[in-house]
Amino acid sequence: MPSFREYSRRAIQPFIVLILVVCYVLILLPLSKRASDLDKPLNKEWRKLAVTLGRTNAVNLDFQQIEAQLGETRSGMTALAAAEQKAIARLQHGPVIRDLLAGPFRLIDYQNELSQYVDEAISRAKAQKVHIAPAVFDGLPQHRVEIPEQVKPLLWAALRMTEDALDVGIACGVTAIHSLEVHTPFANGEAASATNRWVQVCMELELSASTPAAMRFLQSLPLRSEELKPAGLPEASPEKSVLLIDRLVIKRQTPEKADEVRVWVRAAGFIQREQ
Amino acid sequence: MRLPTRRVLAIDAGSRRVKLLVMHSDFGRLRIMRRELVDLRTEGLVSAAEMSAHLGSVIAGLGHPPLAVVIPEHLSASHVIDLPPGPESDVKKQIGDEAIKLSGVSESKIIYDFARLESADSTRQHFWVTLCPEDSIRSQMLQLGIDHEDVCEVTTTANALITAHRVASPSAPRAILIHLGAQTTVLAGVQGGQGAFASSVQMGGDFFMRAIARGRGLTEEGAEELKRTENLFTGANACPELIEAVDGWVAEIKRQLRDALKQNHGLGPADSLEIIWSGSGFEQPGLVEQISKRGLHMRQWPQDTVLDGVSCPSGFEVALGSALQAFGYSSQLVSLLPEDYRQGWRKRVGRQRMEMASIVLIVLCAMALGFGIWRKLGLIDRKQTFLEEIRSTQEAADANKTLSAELLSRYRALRPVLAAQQNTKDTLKTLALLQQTRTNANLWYLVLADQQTYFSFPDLDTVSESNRAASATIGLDFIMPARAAALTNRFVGEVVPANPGFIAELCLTGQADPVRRTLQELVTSLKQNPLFSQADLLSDDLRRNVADPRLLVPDRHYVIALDFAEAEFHQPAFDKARSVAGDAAAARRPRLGDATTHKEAR
Repeated sequence: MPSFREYSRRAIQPFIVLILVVCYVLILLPLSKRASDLDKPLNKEWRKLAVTLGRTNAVNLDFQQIEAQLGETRSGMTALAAAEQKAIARLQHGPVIRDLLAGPFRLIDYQNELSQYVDEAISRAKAQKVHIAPAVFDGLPQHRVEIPEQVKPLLWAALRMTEDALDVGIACGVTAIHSLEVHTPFANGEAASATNRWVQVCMELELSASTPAAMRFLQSLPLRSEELKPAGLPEASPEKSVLLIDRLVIKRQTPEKADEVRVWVRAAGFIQREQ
Repeated sequence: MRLPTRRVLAIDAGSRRVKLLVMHSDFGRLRIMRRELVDLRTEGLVSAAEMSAHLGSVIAGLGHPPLAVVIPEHLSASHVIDLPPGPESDVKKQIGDEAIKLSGVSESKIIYDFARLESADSTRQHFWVTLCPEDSIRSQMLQLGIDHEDVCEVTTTANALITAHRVASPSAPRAILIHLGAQTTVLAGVQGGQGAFASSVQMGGDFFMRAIARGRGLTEEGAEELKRTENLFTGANACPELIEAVDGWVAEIKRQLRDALKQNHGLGPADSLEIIWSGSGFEQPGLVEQISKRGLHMRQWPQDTVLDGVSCPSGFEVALGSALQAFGYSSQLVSLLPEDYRQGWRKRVGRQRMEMASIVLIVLCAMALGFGIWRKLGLIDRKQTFLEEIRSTQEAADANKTLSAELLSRYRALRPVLAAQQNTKDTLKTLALLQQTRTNANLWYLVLADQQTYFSFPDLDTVSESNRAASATIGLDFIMPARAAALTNRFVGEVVPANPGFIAELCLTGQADPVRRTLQELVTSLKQNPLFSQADLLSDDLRRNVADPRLLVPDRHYVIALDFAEAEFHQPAFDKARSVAGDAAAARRPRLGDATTHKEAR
């Protein structure tokens, strides 16, 4: 007959088996289910990420590369912001134009300014012995009824840039200014978009000049007023606009005038719009 | 919970002392865990009940291990039986018959066991047979109070001694073992490591003690004390009664040996045999020397290493032999275990094996369960970590997408400004550079034009001579209508068949060689300037009709194409970079020397 010691020893094994079964049912099975349940969100998130990256058939995605891309994009954004700040600092108009851009547009004021400038320009050209063809003044930016109301103040900036270009030419002593044509895309509604922060104004100018005068003219266009004197160039209005050279053709004139050149230039000015 | 027969308690119960030896086997490596010598008189265990109770407490304290019990030799008999060759079944029957004959007239059932002996005589079979009345075995176990315990081995004193000697001295092929107990002297012959004979003499240590008591007039306790402490064989203390008793003992031993040697010729002459003594009776001072004087030369049981580092403790030779038999360390294993104990032991071993198998299975299941839980936990952890990574990366990708869109939008807005600034800077540098090259009076420039404007002029092939003359007279006005379509609303970055850069038309006068050298130096110096990525002559088929023909010097008119090095702002924004850049590359003016693409460019 088995002793109590024997009974107790025999009872241990079923007890251990019972514990194992309990562990299996209460621990392993729930863990297994939990592990399986994670597959669904995992696959869902994976597909979502693959779609985001445009690699729906990918079996392997480089997470570190994606993180690195984000870092590069942030660096790029910082660099772009810095470049933007520099561009703004350089291309910003003077306070007078900024006030006119911010305020309402009044045609009477604009027309007065336009005619007043024409008179002054003719007077200065005569003094500097610069011939300005009458058609040149026809090329100054004009008000048109189809210009959207909200961009009409931009005419002030376009007029200022054109005046600056002509003033620089007169100041540099060019021989003659033959033609002027100003393109204002905003007048056609192209700048009406709220997302377009920079509005471009293009002007095509054709002039004759001696080579040194032509060089002075071209060098003066992209400089601000305070930069002209240190560069040894004729002074200009304190609020002179920065005009960038987009296209340029310099052509030697007749054999008789060896130093005379014909210059056709397309200059671009930029107006920063407040967002 | 232990493996079956991993531990054995060997009990060698004498009339004065009980020797207990616990031996443990770790997968064949033997260790003596405990040994205990119980002096019955000293401990006050006078009655059988007292001894039984004490033994029971010891067994319980040891966790009821399997027992190996030694039966006194005088209760049993061991013989070598010669049988003719025959089948194994006949051998068993013949030995059974012989055992009954040897046991004489007995009402008790005889328990016997036998083992085959190795022999050089092929005509006969030799068997070592040990037998004992079952009643004697049971009464011995009853007396010890172990009849309800798990008894795994019952053997005799002589068999235990032979087993212990064989393991202790495997190199000694022949020996006589003499074990002197309190009441009995056991003789065992060993030949070739196997038992050759076994006998007992009912003369032991008590026989000598009683002779001392008679000679000195002492009580048994006093005589026993004197026997243990003093040499009573020589000098003034010599006890003639004791010497006489020892002489009688020696004579009886010699007689027994003579008889045994007569029956076992294989043992050889008595002088050549090694006689080994053991037992507490020999611990009497001067006894071994006195026996030696009587011509019985003996040496003590070897005390050195027995097996696997197990030394035989003095006085425990018989207990050690029975434990070794229980572990199977015997070439002639004979067991007198009664049948019911044998079956009970088999059952216990079987049950323990089942339990061990169950435990192994449980352990394996537990390990598998633990491993499974560990794997699942690891899997869950990895999946959660991976999920977090995906979500984090998703956030990064979303943020990157948003930021990239914003970056692209802002860059698109700013790119015309940057391109115009870059173009202005490069243009002014080009003008300054070309002015520096006008040091040679034989060189003058006719036309300097940006490439996009230059290539908007009609080429030489499409302009008739009259038109060329006309263009010379009206100057740039000629190009105004032509460029109207090409240049109106054209801004930086537009796709035209030109690179960012300039075209310079010039004339050089003089001899051919100086002109070529001057032109070579001019182009080389321009090309080395970091402002340009390329500076070279423009292929004739790409020339345009721009210069005034009246200013041209025949065969001395050259056109140089200058490509700006910095041109990234002239490229469209990122998202359309590939397609637009591809279009631009296809439409761009081919490099000089790339003859295969000239036509496409035209």
